[in-house]
Amino acid sequence: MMKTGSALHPLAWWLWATGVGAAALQTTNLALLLLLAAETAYVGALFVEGRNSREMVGAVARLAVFAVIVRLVVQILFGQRLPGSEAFALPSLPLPTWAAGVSIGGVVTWQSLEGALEGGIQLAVVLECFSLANALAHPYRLLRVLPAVLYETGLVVSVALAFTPELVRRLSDVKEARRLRGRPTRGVRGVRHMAVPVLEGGLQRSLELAAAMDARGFGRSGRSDPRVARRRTAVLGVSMTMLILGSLAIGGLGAGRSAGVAMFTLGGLGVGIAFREGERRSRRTRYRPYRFGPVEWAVSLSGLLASAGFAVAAHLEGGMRPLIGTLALPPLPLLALLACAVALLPATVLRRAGTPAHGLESEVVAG
Amino acid sequence: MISFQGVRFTYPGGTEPALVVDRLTIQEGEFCLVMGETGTGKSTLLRAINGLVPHFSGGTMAGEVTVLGRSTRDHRPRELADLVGYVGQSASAGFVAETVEEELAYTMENLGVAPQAMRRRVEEALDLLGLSRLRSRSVRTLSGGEQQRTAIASVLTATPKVLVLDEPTSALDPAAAEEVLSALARLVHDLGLTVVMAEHRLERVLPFVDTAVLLPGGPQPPVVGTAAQVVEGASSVPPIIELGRAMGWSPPPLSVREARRLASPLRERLNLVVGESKPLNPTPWEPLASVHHLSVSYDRRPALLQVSLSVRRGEVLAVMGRNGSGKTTLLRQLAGVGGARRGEVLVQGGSPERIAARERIRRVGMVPQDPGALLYEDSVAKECSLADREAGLPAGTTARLFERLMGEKADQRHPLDLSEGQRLGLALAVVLAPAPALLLLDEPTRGLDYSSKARLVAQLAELAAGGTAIVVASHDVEIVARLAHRVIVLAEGEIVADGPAREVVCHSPVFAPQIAKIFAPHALLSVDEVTRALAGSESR
Repeated sequence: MMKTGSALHPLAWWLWATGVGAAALQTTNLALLLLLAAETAYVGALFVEGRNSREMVGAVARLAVFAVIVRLVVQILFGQRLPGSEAFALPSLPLPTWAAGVSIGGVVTWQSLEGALEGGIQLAVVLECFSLANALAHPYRLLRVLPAVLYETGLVVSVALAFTPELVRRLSDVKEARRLRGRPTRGVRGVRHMAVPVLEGGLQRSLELAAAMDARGFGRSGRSDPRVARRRTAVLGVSMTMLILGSLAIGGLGAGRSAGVAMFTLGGLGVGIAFREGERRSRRTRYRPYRFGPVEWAVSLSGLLASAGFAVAAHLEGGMRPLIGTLALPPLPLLALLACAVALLPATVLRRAGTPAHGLESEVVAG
Repeated sequence: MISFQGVRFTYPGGTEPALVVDRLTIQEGEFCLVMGETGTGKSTLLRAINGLVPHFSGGTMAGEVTVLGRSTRDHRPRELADLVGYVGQSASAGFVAETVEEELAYTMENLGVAPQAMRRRVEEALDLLGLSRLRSRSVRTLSGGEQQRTAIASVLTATPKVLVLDEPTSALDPAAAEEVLSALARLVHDLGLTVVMAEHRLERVLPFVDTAVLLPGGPQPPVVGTAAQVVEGASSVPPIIELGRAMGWSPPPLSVREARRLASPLRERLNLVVGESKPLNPTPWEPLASVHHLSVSYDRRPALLQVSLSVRRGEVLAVMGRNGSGKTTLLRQLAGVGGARRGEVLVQGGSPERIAARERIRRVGMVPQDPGALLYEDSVAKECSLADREAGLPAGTTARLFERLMGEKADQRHPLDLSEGQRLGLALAVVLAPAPALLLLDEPTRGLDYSSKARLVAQLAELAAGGTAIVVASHDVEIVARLAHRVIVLAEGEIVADGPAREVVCHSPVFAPQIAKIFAPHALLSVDEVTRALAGSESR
């Protein structure tokens, strides 16, 4: 039986989305960017299940389009005046010399519009990727794969995330009740009067949740010795910091590269030890832990390969960052196109949302 | 199994103890009902069993509660999780996980149950509560009854000896409530589980329970005994017990089946009786509000389909139907806050959402399911004066109305500190102050005890007699039977029955009130009607 998109190990989707997002950041080729945007939209349409998740993905897609438009408008009004062929001219405002580099109005060139459009779409693709990962791997599912040390922190985050839709629902209830009493739902007074019942309702609900969790044994295990726990947290904190500093150094920000590698390794080791210790001491058990199986490997590798393909293409082939100002249709680098195709792998190895598990077999039986 | 000894509990900041139980034992395998008016400490008693009171609530507690020898004095709720399964008033508020299956495993994960055993117990719990088809559904998308059963299953997986439930059926339609209760009965009979449950809707739960604890409130000791004994001495009781009292049956019957057997000679004595229909204030036939071919959909899913109806002055129209059948949607449209629709809604000749707010609240008033959402101020008095100002009424109008409705002063109490019944009363006062011609009520009896319900029925009957049209959406068949002139039944957004209350409810196996079930085929709705009919048959 093929797995559905939402039954996948949650990390697989996050890796895939990170890969595709990273690929988008490596090119300004409009054709490639649009291709990536279309791919994420397609994967979303195939695998996102449930009305709420679909609505959320739709909302982020609208936000992405909005981001592109804002980017264009900002470019037209205040953007850098790139030389090139003139599209149209706005009346310009003379600014004092200390404000050089900023301009208001003036000549808008096709080239500057193109640059803004590319930047905007890049951002849009990254947004889309993350909303997709979020919709396909619910925060609670992500929590379940977190190492035991991070469990409590993760739980706070996931409860908060699950709580947001509740607040939204409560807000719409209160708004409706205000309209029933014939009162304003806008303006300072409206907001002040609505905030109180919404927050009260929210608080009430969090208390109920906390009571239910306490009654269901939350926090019963892993609280054996506070001193051990504190030491573990300290090790984790220091190692995480080293890991981040190390990776920054390797990336070329700050001091020597070799020191960076050493820090990175040490930090990684520390984090690993803290996680293992936590896992060993925790008395929590896991129900049907998600397996990182072949399908998961396929999905995450397809995303990561896409990003790698784009990176290599940027080195070897032209057309990844076409010169702004040529205004010609940019050439399509073959390697990058191939990488785009690889990123679509999830569409073939997963079962689509809304199709029955044994669709073919049952049809055969019915026929 | 469970024992309370010398328990006196006071909430933080409280002066009077909220719970006083000197001695109470609940035996293994009992299905025990905790009853009492609102505010007598039912929830407090339930939460004391697993230590949420006082560990979670704060406050001071004297005495001791033990469950199978473990005292809540030195065991926190989490340390009793393997012994006591607790499901709070709102089942969905306690959900942690994403899918039903993961929710079921959550308690066991906390207890550190071995993966093999977890797997087996989840499957067993899914079967026990009939949830196997829902296993991979998101818990947020379940219906009320499904949520309640999921919550029960999710504490059952920890194999507790005691199950504690706070009003498990109060938000459910009659069919879903039946589902939950029969699941509970199965657990008691097959697994020998001890179940302690608080519930207002006695008529629903009495047939299932063995023993009962009646909390009289204040410092008086609780009354404990078999369900029949306790209920015999209670002050406010469901119609079936009233009937038992009127007929001198002792012990009173608890189920319709028992009562039918006892009533069989009475039924034979009567010729086929159809009770008189409620007198409708004799105004000319004048529709106050009407709806023509109304269709509403949310996200392309129809909530109402081609609904047409009209309501006249002085009429009480009850809207019944399953959870999610479109009752609330209909009320919201009549109130002018329902959003986009097709078809026409008229209240006194105008579309409610087009009427200016000031004028609209004089034509139509609505109390939503959660009356608390209507209230914003931090005291009853302020709330009342705000309502006066907003509606442009002379100062003190709303406060006087509240006093008349509730028989108590509009003082400085915070609306959140009021009982359900008092909060409903305040919301009613606020909505009724501008004297709307049409009153809409969404599930007004949810969480109300019998005396609050009786007061509500009297008030609404008086309003209707004064010419107000009332539309009430309700699952509460007893209230509908006592109050409504006409009943419509909605299913999947369509009207499937529309007629005089007596005809509609007596012919429905789900919506028939207890008295109607006991005396079928006679169409009698209340104990009064029964006694009158019997007296009539004797004099003839």
